[in-house]
Amino acid sequence: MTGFVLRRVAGTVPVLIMTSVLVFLLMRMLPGDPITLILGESQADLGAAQIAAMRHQYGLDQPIYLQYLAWAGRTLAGDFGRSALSHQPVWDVLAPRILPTLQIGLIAWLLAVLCAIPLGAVSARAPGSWQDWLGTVVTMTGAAMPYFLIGGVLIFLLALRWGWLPASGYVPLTEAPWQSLRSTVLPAITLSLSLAAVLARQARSSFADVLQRAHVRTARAKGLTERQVMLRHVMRNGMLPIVTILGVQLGTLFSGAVVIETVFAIPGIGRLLVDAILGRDYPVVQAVVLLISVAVVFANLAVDVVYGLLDPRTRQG
Amino acid sequence: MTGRRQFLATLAAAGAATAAPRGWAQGTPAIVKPGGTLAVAIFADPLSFDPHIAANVQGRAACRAIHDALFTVDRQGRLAPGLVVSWTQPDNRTFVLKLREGVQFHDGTPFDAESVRYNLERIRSGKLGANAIRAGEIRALDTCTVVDAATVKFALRYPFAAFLFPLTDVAGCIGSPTAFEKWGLDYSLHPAGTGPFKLAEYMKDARTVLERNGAYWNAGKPHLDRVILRPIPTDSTRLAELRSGGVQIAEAMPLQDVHRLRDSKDIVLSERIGFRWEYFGFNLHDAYPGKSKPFRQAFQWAIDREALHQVAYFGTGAIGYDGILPGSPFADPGYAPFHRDLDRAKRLIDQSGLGRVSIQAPLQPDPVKQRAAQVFQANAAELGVSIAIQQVDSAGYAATLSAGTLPIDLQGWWGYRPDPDQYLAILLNSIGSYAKYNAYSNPAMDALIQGEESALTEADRRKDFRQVADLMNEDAVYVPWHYSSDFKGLSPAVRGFYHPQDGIIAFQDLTLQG
Repeated sequence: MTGFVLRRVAGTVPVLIMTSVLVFLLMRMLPGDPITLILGESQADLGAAQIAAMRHQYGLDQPIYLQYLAWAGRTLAGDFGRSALSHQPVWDVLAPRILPTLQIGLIAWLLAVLCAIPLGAVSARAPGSWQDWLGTVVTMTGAAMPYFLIGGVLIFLLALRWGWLPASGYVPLTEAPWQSLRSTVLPAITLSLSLAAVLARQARSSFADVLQRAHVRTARAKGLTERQVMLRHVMRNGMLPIVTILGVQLGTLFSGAVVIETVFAIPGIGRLLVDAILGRDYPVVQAVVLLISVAVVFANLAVDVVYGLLDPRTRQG
Repeated sequence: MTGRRQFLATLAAAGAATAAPRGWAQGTPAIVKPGGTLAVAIFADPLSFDPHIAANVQGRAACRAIHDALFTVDRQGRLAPGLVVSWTQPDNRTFVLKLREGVQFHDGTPFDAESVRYNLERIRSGKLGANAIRAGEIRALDTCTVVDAATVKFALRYPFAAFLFPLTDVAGCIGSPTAFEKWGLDYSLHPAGTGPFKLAEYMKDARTVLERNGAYWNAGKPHLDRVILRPIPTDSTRLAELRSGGVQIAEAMPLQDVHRLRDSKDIVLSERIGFRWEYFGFNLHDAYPGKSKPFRQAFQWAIDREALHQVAYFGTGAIGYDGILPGSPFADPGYAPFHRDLDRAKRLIDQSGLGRVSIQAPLQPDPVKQRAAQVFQANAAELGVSIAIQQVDSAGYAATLSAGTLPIDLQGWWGYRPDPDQYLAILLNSIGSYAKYNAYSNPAMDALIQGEESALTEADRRKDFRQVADLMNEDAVYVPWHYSSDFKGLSPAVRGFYHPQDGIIAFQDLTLQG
C-alpha cells in the first residue's frame, strides 16, 4: 500500500510541471498584461519610459522561457512572488481563500452524497415507479440548470422573500461557526444540485446492476430482509463506480466555484482565479492553478486508496 | 430635448441628485444620532489602501475615507479646502498653501508641511519604484518647498491652471511618512492617514472594515462607528443585499432595474449625472479609415444619439456633445452642434473617397457598450460602413488601445475629474498618451490646451474650453455622445447623503436613523 501511494505521488510531478507550463503559455498568449490594465483602470497618463520600467519591474520584458524558469525557481524555494494587482505576497492573497472554497465544496459534496445515494437506491429498487420518475425529473432539472440561475432563484426565495439566510458574503468558520455555516448553505446547495444529479444517475444504474447479480438472489434466499440486502450486499458493491465519480467531480467543484463565488460574493479560490485571469495577474494565476492541480491529483489518489478499502481485489494489482 | 438638458443641468448645478422624492437627501437631520454600522455593497475590491497605488474607483474611495486629501471639490465643482485651508497663486507658476494645523495621522505622527512634501516626492520619485501610477498627474511640479511647518510652496515647471485639481483625489491624499517608511509597499495594508476612518480589518473580496477615527480634526465627525465595504460583483446579488437589509447602500445599480427601483417604496435610488462621458474614438494611423477627417466627421451626423441614449442607457443620463461634463463650471448646457443628418453624413463619406469600408471593433463584454455598439453598427451600415464587433476582455482591449492598433474605439469613456484638463489634455494634447495611441496631433489644438492651462481666471479658461470642444468636434477623433450617471441605491435610514459627481461618498457625513 505504501509503495503504491509513493509511486502515485511521484507520478504527479510531471503532471504538475506540464500544467504549470501550459498555464504559463496560455496566460502569455492572451493579449494585454497587468500594466496596461492598471493604467487603463486608473485612467492615468504615464510616459513610455515609466511603462517600460513597470514591465521591467515585473520581469515582463524577459523572454517567456526565462520568465518561466525564474518563476519555477522561486516557487521551488517557496516564494510565489507578489500579486501584480494588489502588490501583496501571493501566498497572503491565496491562503485565506482556501477555507471558504473547501467549506462550500465539502458541504455541497456531503449534501450531494446524502441526497443522491438514497435517491439512486430507491430508483434502482423500483425502476419505472413514480419515485423513480420523480427522481429522474428532479435530477435532470438539477443537472440542466446553470449555477447562476439556481443561485439567483435561491437568493430571491430564501434570502429576499423569506429572509431565512444571508443573500451573500462569507463569515470565517473560526470567527462565528454558526454564522459561517449559514453563509455557506446557499452556495453549497447551488453547487450540490448538478453534482447530486450526476451521482444519483450513476447510483441508480450501479445499484440496478448489482441487484441483478446472483449474490443478491442468494442473500434474499438466505432470508435476509430487503434492508439488510441493500445495505450489506448492494450498497457496498455498487459504491465503486460512485466513488470514481466523486473523485472526478472534484474538478467540477472547482469550476463551479468560479461561478458560485461570484454570484454569492464568496472570497474563495474560484473568484480569485477569475479576477486574476481577467486582471492578467500572472503570479496569482500560476499559484492558484498549481494549488488546484495538486488538489485534484491528490483527490484522485485518495479515490484509489478508498477503492482499495472497498474492494480488496484492487489491492493485489 | 433642450428642456430636459436644462433641467438636468440645473439639478447638477444645484448639486442635487435627480431622484430625491422623499426628502431623504435634505442634509443631516436636526438631531444627529451618532453611532451605528453602515454596510455598503461595492462592485469590486479596493485592492490597495495606498493612495499612491490605488487604481480603481473602489480603491480610491477607501483611500479617501482613510486619508484626507489636500483639497476637496465643492458642490459647484470648484476647488475647496481639505488639509489645505487656504491658498494663493502669486504668479502662474507658483502656489502657496496654508495647511490645517493640529492634525494628526492615525499613527500619532503630526501632519505638517514636511509630510506634504514627503508624499508628493513619494509619488514621483524612487520610493514607489515603477508603481507610481499617479506621477503623471503631478508632472508639472518642479519643486515642493517647506516654507514653515504649516506652509508649502509649489513651483511649477510651466504655467498650469489645473495643477491643484488632481490633489482633490488620491494623488493629494497624505499618508504618515513614519508609516510609509515603516511599511514600504505593505503600507497598502497598514495605511495611516488623517482621515475620518481607520482601516480596522481587510479580507480581500469579502470585506473592508473602516472604524471611526475618534481623534478626527473635524469635531463631531464622523457620526458612524463603522463602515463595512463588501465587494459583490453580481448586480442582482448587490440589489438583493440592499433589499433584504444586508447593506444600507449599494453602488452601481443595474440600469435595466433603474425605472423599477425609482418606484420602489423600500429603496431610495440616487442618480448623479455626469459620472463619466462616452465617445466613439477613431484611430488616425494610416492603416485605418479613421485617418480621413471627412470619414470621422460623418459619424458626428450619422449616429443616432437619441437611440443610443434610450437603448444603451435606458434613457438615463443625458445626451452629450463634448467632453465637458454637466456639473463642471466649464460646461455649456446649450451646446448641441449636431443633429442626425444622414445626407450630410453620406456626403462626408463620399468626400473621404474611402468607398465601402469594413472595420473590426474589439469590444469588452460590458452590456451597455454592447448595446451602444449595435446602434453604432446600424448607423454605420446606413453609410455603407460595416462594423464587425469582436469580443475581447478588458486587458485585451487596453493592450490593443495602447499599442495603437485599435481600429475603432466603441468602448471610449472617461470618468469625471473636477477639471476637464485632467482628461482632455491626455486625449487631445499631442503629448498625451491617448492622443499618441490614436496618432492625433494638431498644433492648433496643442495651442488651445496650452492656453487653457496657462490662463489664470475661470472665465478665460471657460472660453478656452469652449474652443477646445469645437475643435475636438471638428477633428472628430472622439465623437462624443453621452454623459452617463452614477446610480446608488440607499436604505431610507441613511441620512446626510450627498451624491458627489465622482461617485465617492463622504462617509463622515452619514448617519443611520431608526
